[in-house]
Amino acid sequence: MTAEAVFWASALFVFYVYCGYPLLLAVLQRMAGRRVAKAYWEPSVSVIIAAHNERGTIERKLRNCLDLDYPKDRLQIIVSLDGCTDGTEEIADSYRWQGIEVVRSARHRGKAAAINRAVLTATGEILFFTDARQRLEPRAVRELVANFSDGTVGAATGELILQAPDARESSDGVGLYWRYEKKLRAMESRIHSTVGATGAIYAVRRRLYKPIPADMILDDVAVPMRLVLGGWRSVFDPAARAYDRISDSLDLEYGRKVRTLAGNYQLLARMPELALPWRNPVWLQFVSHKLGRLAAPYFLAALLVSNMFLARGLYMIPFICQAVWYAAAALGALAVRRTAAAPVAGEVVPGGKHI
Amino acid sequence: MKKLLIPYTFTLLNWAAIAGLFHFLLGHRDLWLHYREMTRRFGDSLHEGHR
Repeated sequence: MTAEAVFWASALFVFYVYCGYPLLLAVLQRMAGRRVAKAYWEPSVSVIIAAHNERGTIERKLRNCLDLDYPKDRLQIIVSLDGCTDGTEEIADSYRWQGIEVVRSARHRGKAAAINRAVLTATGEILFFTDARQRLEPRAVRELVANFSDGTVGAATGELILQAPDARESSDGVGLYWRYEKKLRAMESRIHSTVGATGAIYAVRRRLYKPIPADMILDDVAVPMRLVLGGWRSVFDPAARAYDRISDSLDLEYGRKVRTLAGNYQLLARMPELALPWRNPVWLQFVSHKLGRLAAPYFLAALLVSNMFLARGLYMIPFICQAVWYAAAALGALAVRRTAAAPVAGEVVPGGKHI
Repeated sequence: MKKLLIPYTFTLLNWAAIAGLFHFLLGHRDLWLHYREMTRRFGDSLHEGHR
């Protein structure tokens, strides 16, 4: 009886987090969707790039920002150097004559501190945050800023497109996961607000920005969610795009995900009001999307273990499905390890043989 | 191969929540730097591949 209760509670939870919630959003957006009154205008914008040891990417990023389709006299570009020791400073300084502003900290204090420091020198009506690594589409600023012509919008985030090596949008495991994530964000945004933003491309009204704690892991969730708690909307606009190359290494994506999820725990500890339905206008979205993901692995484990105790009769069907799923995952893990271990063409393998 | 990666990716990214809790409880704050280091290694290899 206990195993049955655990099985059904876990199955319902996992189903809700991954299928039920998206279906609920699809219904809610049809019933209560609110369009953003997007209109093109040209307020002053401060583009802020926080950088720590970005020698390999900073020059490309600065050129990318200088090529943005936005009036130069209304665009301030600030690079906030966070204790760089690899020559990033020299590269950034060499672009000062082109109008790039450089602020710096001698010590590495973290991304949130770097952002706070840059905002102190920002003069734009809109703060546009972007990371050093990703490439912005020329119209990215124009498209994102257009959302702020709607007076209810306090923050806006664009779409990060993960590209496969052939430059098309990735359709492998991580690519699909990210596409699913973006669908959720788009539906959440139509209802009220998306829960968080993408660090590669998001913007807020400067007058609403308040410094975030220097050790905050997820600035791109903390900054917009503060505004949402204050009654503003935080919207997702897929017309404003940034591009990143998808990693061949799942370890890297895993590291990125660990950071995000650790950040969600921190966010909950720092902003507990997010979990209060009478304080958070997107409480259902926050609980279903963010907290649901944090709890999902425990429920998945409970689902598997309880099903082991019930593996007879009709309960054999979900048990076989789970067994096949985890066996496929294990094979996938093996395949990834083998691919990573295999020498690539042109590489010298131990023993000196050139392949 | 790609199809096989879907269950693995889903499982791996799901279980990242447990690692995330571990880092949070141990007070690891500099995950950004950790992430950047991993990203840079990947970015450098891409850059070299384009030369």
